[in-house]
Amino acid sequence: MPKPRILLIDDEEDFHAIVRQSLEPLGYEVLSEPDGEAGLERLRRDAPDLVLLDVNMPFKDGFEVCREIRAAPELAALPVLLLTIRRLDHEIVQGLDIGADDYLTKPCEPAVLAARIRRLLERA
Amino acid sequence: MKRRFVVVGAEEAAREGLARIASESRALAIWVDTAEEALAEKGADVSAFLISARLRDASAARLCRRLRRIHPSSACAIIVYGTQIDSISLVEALDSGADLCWSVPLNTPVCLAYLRALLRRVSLLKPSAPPVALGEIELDPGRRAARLGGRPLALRCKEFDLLYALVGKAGVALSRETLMREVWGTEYSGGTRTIDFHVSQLRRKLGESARLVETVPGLGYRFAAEAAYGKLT
Repeated sequence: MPKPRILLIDDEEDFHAIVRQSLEPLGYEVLSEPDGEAGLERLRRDAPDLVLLDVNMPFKDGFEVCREIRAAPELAALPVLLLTIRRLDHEIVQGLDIGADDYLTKPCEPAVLAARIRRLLERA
Repeated sequence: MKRRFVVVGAEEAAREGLARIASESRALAIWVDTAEEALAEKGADVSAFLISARLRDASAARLCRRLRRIHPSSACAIIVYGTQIDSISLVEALDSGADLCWSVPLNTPVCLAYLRALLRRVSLLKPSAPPVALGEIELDPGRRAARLGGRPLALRCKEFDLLYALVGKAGVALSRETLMREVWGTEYSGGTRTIDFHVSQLRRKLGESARLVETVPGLGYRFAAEAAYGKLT
């Protein structure tokens, strides 16, 4: 079986390394992009199995990226997990209602992130 | 038919919140105390189980595993709730088939948003949808199982629903609008290009049988009934 491929879209480059270190040993291939535009392009090019999406990013925030994913027929079914420091109730509700499948706040434990990813991939 | 939520082992502190979550989801709440009673709820109209992390007669994770043998992820949500669920128990619950863990006291608006996200993925098929078989294709919506020529066929949720809608009306041309309504529900506004994309995915998985899903120019799609039967003889 090919490795499940996960795309991280996050402007914090340090965080890319953390996610790689937690997910690669578990058998995932981790791709990463530093902003929404590049992320959307990569989604179309490399068709990952799941996307981890930050919210606070320059140019195009994660909510906007999520909306664009849901509006694109070829991406509409892609599992999206928002992974962000935004933790207010209305932000979580907004993120899920614009089409994210799951919402986790940073910092999060690697084991929990991995379990949520397994669950989402199983369900997709 | 109204969807049902089965609430298992509700502690006092969570009762009111759980009742509100069920009523705002327009679901009928069924309250049971034990894992055994939960396992007796086998109906396909159960769209969620809400399970206390502290059950009298079983661990929540064990109950999740047993429930998943009856209720697949694509048809039913499982949520474990409790006070101070540590991350080890949380990971165990998720790996046993739970979709979410909620902490008590419940934050109702946030719980409802998570639940909406989850139920979007859960099938919109009616609870009474019967299995169908046509030629080499067999579909069992209760178990969300598809077979092609006797072999299991791995379909995503919407691909299954789409094929089920087409096979269920084999020989009849279905418009894109009809398919959108049946498979995605009326509130979906993604446009009918979504259908074309999912049909192409479906055809890819059907291999040689892809030709059975016929394009009806200017209208939509039709499952070719005669050809499907023809393969049998």
